[in-house]
Amino acid sequence: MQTPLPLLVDAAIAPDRLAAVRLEGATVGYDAGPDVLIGASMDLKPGATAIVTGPSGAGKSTLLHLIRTALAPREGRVTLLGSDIARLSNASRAGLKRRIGYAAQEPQFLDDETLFDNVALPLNLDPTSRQTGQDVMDLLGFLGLTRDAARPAGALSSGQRKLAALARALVARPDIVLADDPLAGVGAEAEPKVVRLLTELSRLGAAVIVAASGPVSGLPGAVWRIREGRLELAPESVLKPLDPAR
Amino acid sequence: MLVSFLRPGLFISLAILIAAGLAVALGASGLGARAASEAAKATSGYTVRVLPPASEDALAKAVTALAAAPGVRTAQPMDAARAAQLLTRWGGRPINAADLPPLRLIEVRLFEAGDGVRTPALLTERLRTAGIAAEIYDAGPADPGRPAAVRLATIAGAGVCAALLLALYFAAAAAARSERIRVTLWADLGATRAATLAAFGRAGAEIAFLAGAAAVILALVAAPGVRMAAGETISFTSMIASLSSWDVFIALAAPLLAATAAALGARAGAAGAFDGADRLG
Repeated sequence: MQTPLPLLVDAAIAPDRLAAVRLEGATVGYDAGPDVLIGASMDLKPGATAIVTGPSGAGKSTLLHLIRTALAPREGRVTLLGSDIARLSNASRAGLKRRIGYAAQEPQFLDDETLFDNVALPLNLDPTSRQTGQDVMDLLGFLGLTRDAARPAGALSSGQRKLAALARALVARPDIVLADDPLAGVGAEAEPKVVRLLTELSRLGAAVIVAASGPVSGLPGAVWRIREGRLELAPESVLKPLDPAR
Repeated sequence: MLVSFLRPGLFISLAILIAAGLAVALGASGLGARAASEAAKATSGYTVRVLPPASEDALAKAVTALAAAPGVRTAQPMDAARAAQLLTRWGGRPINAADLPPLRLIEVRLFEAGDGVRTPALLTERLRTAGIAAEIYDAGPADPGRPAAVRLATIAGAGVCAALLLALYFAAAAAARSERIRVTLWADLGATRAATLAAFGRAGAEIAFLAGAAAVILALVAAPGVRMAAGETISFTSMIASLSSWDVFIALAAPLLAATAAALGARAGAAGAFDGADRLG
């Protein structure tokens, strides 16, 4: 288990009672299969960013599934925004999910419905959301998808679907953002926009976790690695001086 | 609206399904009413017993007098076999026709349902005028199969309605289950089970209500066809006149019943999909 180094590392791993994401020795796998992640520990404060790297099949996506409460830990504990996910009722878990924005590696859409309707879905499902259709259009505009807003989602290219998934994950201003390989296939022009969006969300107080095959250029944050099922902080992040702004 | 099943194919399928069911239900109701009417006509009759002493001639004179009475459709001497058949039915144990004494009975059938007070008095008066002493009794049903036909038509109509509602339930459940991606997305985005089921229930109710309303119109056109196929001769006027309050109730209630069945089915289908999607693996 990785020991947090509160005074030497980025705020992302500083222990805090109010951690947005806290994993404590979490072991997880699929159905009756072997463990994919073993004893994973991580503390992520609001406003912090973690970039989780590792080879394909290492368990990066599994980590995100664990944090988005699609998987339950076999051992250990997962606490999100102060709630232990194993102790939540279904209704409370649904409420927690509304505070998590997840952009999948291969996102699903309602292909017969428009891009706008797909991106606005989190707002339509949450009557308390303060975001509006204009926020949806602003987000689509920033990502260069304004002209595609009225097209069926099924007609979008794979790169556009990745961007649309990110827009859907971010539109409700979630407290936790999970992005699975968000730069893959979006094109060189869109990459800095994606990085800027994630940075901005982090600046606004969201805890951001990005799964990627390597460091994400321009995205500040602690780099974690998954090796043989073990989640560990990369040496460069352990030795990274504290950000005076945090 | 977050969910809509308002797709032309599904809408038309449901409308045809409901219309077909309604047509059969209304047709069965009409046939039942006709059978009931026929049964009422058939049972409106009397049995006349010519009192002794009486000759064969007296029986023939009585038949002639009764047949000539207004409102009488037929007046026929009852033979021993018929008498044995009726006595067997009334008494509950077999009666042999050969064992019966001469009964001097006459079966009188009327054109319309009899007037329980006036008709017997009229027949008695005709017989007295002919110089014949007789007693008059209410007759049993001429065709014991008719009440069964009424029951059969009612059961068939109810059965078709029940089958129709079940079909709607399963069609809506299947439509909801086919929305697996939507349900999965909703579950991932934090929709509660209750909200998901409510939205699918509304969508199911909406399409079934509209399809039901369209089907009522179709059924009103198709029902006469079913009845004519069953051998009934009807005109537009007779069809309108033959509509019972039960028929009107069926037509008005059909969209609501269809909406209820589809809402329940859509909720059930969505529940299965949601529970699969929201499983904490």
